[in-house]
Formats: sequence, structure tokens, C-alpha cells
Amino acid sequence: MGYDFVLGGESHTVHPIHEPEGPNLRIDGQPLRAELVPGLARGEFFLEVDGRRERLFLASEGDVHFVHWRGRTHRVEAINALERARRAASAAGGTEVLRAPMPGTVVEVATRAGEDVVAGALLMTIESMKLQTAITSPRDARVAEVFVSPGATFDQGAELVRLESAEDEGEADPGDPGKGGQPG
Amino acid sequence: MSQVRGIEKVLVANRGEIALRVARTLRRLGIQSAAVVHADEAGSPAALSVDEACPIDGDTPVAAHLDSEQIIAIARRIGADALHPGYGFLAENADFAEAVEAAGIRWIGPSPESIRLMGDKIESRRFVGAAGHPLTPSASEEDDPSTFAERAAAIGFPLLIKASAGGGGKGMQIVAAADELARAIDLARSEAERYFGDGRIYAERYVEAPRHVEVQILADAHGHVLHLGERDCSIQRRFQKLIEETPAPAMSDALRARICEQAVGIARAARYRNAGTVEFVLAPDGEFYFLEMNTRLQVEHPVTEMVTGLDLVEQQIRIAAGQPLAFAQEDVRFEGASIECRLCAEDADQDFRPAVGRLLRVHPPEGAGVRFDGGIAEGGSVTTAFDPMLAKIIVHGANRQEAIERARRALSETVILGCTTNAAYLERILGHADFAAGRVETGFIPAHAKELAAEPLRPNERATILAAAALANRDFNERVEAVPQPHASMGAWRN
Repeated sequence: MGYDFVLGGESHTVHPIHEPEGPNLRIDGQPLRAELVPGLARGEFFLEVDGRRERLFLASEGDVHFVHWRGRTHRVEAINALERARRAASAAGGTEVLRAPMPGTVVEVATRAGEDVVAGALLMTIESMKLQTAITSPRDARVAEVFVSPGATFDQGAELVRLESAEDEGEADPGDPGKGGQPG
Repeated sequence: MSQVRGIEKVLVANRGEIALRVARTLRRLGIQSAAVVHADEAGSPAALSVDEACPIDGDTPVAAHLDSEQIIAIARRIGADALHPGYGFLAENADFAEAVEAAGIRWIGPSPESIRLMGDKIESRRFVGAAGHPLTPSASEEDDPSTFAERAAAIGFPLLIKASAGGGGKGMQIVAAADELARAIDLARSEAERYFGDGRIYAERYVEAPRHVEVQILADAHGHVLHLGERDCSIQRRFQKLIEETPAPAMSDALRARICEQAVGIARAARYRNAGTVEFVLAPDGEFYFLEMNTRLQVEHPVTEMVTGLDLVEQQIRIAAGQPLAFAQEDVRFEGASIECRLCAEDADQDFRPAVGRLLRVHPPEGAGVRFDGGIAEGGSVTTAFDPMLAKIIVHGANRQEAIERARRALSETVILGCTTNAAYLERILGHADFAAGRVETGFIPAHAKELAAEPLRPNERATILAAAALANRDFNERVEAVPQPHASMGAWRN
């Protein structure tokens, strides 16, 4: 699974290439070799890419990266594949179902049908392979249905929670990550 | 120890870049400095630059800066001898200036009467016209309705018929030629009636492709008035200046001298004191008309400082202390050229939409002839609470070409990460052939919108930027390191 990076309103896919030599990245299908080396000034880096040395400045806040290169500043946002799926679901309709990423057990349920939740709100905690994971809401939404209860076991892909829009309005703009499911 | 007798402590009633800039001069002159600071800006460079940061509050940060009583109370409490209002906020509020003086505090600026006179657009135009200075030719219908069309035609075409009570571009008719006049007058009158309930109209010369040229005035309390040259501020977007320069490009010395002379005459007629700026509209045919006078220090004053070597804030303080100007008109020297670019938190590629964000990295430009006047620092937040201007990048060069090159390089080297700025857009304006040729006018930006749009990135450029971002991304890098398969498929589920 590759990572999506949004630059200039367009989505691009970047895959790592696990080879000892040669290209280490595939960007939009094109392989290249790149290394990021810190420079002297704060935020200064050198990107050694395909034999060239590019001087740039980089700063990141979570999954948002700002790159200053050749006199222009660019904003790049990393969207992991799971987030991509959430956005596609949000964009497709007001309803989305959160599914289990792997088999496990429900530790506790923190919500109930009918509750309005905000993006990031804890919905439930599950446990798999001795790891506990928080299932959080991807956007501001209303919990339509909770399919499992504490102690229940589930398979990979099982439905955990169904969300719908709190209001019956337009859907999340896939290019507008910070604003959850609210229009504009 | 203060170098200016009578002024030991100054309260700066402003914030951001101008508060920082005034504080710098106060420090240099050995004058104790204080500033009003809203809680949201307690850690700002301006707050940290003064000896005394005085808290102010209000319903909003802007409201706090407009609270005259609170500010004067603070000035009194801390024993300030004088108050510098900066620009914006209460800087051109005659009542505030009066109240400051009534409280026994020197106002670093002109008299309240001057502020009042020049703050009224109709009054100031009447005054300037009566004093014999050029105004945009105009004719008002109500002066004599029966001769209005004649008087309007005498202005010359193209002209504008406007509603006296109008605004927002409504109720205006552009009349290209004499045969359109009668119909345009009827139309304008009925629209004025309909939109504003007031059918009064007037005609005004329509200047196509006007240039905005202004003159810096300095006057003391002893009757000495002089000018410090003109500035061209034609590069504007939505009536806001973006780039200012001195000397005005593509202008004969004779015209330059005439404009400056008119400005001095206007200031003298108004018995003006302290620093001020007289603004003119310059038509392509070389005619110029009084637009308005700004009774304060302007944002773009640094370009004048760069070519004259003078510190205008220092001059303001000395004048406020009652000192006569230490030099005469013939002593003022103008060296080289200077350009200022207003760095703003906005997305020039999205119709200049205001941008917000946390400033993750700030590296101002440096080098010979480069000056950075900014009120921002790393870690600060850019919000919509205040004006989107973050900083001014000012350069000086031996000539205009060198100034343009220095400005372009400074803009390219300015690193501000975390909030979108117009730096690259400003650089594109400076790189445009028409700008280089001095073909500037207030419609420059809309006229060149297509050419000024950002070049789309080429695929290999995109790849470089994406590679950098990917390698900087923590999750991506964790994936790049050897990760067992089952966990790899978990994606970004967080524990």
C-alpha cells in the first residue's frame, strides 16, 4: 500500500522500494533514489536525488509538510491509505462504516447510537495481537449504529460502527482534511 | 539617557511590525519604551522589544487597540511623555489625538485640527482646491443643474458620472464620448435615486491607467516644511498597496519636482506639523491631482529612509519635542533606489484568500541592501484577527535595476513555513517586463493576472518536492524501515 500525498490540489502516490541499491521510492509510478540530509541552518536540508543535490527548507506539523525549494513554498499533505478510504466513503455519501483492520476483541465501547461525535472522538477500544488500539471518528458525524459490544470478538473487516452526517448537507471535501465532514 | 530632551518615555499605541520598528528607534535614542499588548500577543516580538509591555483588553484584540480611554489611562499610569500611534487603529483619530494632548502627553504626529481637516475627503479637497492646488476636475449638478451637462463635458472625456451618496462602485457611469453624456446623466440620476434614495450626481475626470504617487512631508513646529521625495505605490490589489518604490519610475525630474512642490504647498497651507504624506493620482498625460493627505507615518516609509538615510520615526519624535528640523530642503540627499514588498499571509493563487497557520520556520532574507521589518517569529500563529501583512521586505540598490534584482533574490530566499504567503507572487511581479520598464499603474495586477499566475510544476519538480515530503513524513519512514507484514497492513491505526 502506498501513501498518498496531496500537492497543489492533486493526489500523488509514493511507495517505498525495499531494495539494497537503486531506487528507494516510486513516485506516481516513477522510481527514483532520494536521501534527505540535514543542513546547517534550522530547517535546512539537502535532498540528494538522482545524483543532484537540492537545497531546501522543510518543516512539518503532523502529516502536513511545508517545502521551500527554488524560491517557492509548497504545502504537501500525507494521506495514508486508511484516511483515503475514509474520505472516499465520506465523499460518496453521508454514511460510512468503520471496519476492523484485523481480528480482535472489543475492550470497551465509548459511544452509542444517536450520539453526535466530533472528528477524533474515541468510539471504542479494541485489542489485537496484545496491542490496544483506539478507534476514533474520522470526522464530525452522528453514530448511527454500533455493531459490537464489550468482550465481543470479530474478524478482520468486520463492521464496528456506522456513521452518518449529523446534518443532512453536503459531504466532506476530500481536499480539505482539517475540517472534518462539515461543508466549506 | 534620552537623546531627545523632554521625551524620556514613549508609549507605542500599536502592535506588530510598526510597534517593533518604533521601539527600535526609541532604543537607539535612549528613550524608554512601552507598548500596549493584548493577551493574545504577550509573547510577540513587539511585546518583547519594549521595556514595558502594558496589557490591554477588549471584546476582540482590535477593539482593545481602539479603546482610547484604556490607552490614555495606561499612558498616564506609566508616566509616558509622549505617545506614538503607529498607523491604522487610532493614528488618524482626531478625537484621540486631542484626548492624548489634553492628558498632558505629547502626540507624536500632526495637530488634531490637521487630522480632522485631512480626514474628511470632501473638506480636504475643498481646502486644497481653494488653496490653488490641482484637484481631479469635477462638476457637481446641484451647483447649477441647467449647466451641468456643459460643465461635465468641459471636463473632457472619458469621464465618470457618480452618485454623491454613492459607493461600492454603484451608481457610476463611464462616459466615453460627448454623444453618450445625456443618456448617462439620466441613467446615473435614476440609479442614484434607486440605490441611495438621493439623486444628486456629479461628474469627474476618469483617469485610465492611473499611477498612485505620493510625497513624504516633514514639517516642524517652527514653520519649516520640506519634502523627502516621492513614492510610487501603483502596484495594488483590491486597493491595497503591495509594492512601493522610490524614486517613481519613468518620471521626468521636472514632473517629480512639480509634484513634490505641490505637496509642500498643500502641507504649508494646512499648517501641517510632523510627518505626513500627500497622495496624488497621476494620469498618463502627466496631469496629477490631489487625492488625499495621510496624517501619519505610512507603511511604506522605509523606502524613503533607505534613499535619504534618515530615520523618520526619529524625526517625528524630535518634531514632537519641539525641535526645529536639523536640515533644510537643499540638504536632503537622495541616493539610489528602494523598493518595498508587503509580505502577506494570503494565497495569491486562490484570489488572495487570507491564510492562517502556525509559523513553523521563519528565516528572513539577509544581505547587502536588504531590510526586513516584520513582527513575526517562529512559533507564532497567524490568524485572521489582524491585517494579513506579516512583514515588509525593503531593499536598496544603486539604481532601480539593482533594487529589483535584490528584491527578487530576497523574496526567493525568504523562508516562511507553516502559513501561505505571497512571496513568490511578489517576485513574479518584480520579474515582469512591464514592471522592469516602469509601466506601472493601479490596474497592473488585474491587467497581468494570467502572466502572474504561478507556473505549474513540471513532473520532475513535483517528484523532488514529494520525495522531500515523503522522507520527512514519520509514518512513511516507519513503513520504509523493515516492518512485519501483519502490522504493515494495519496502516496508521494508532495505539
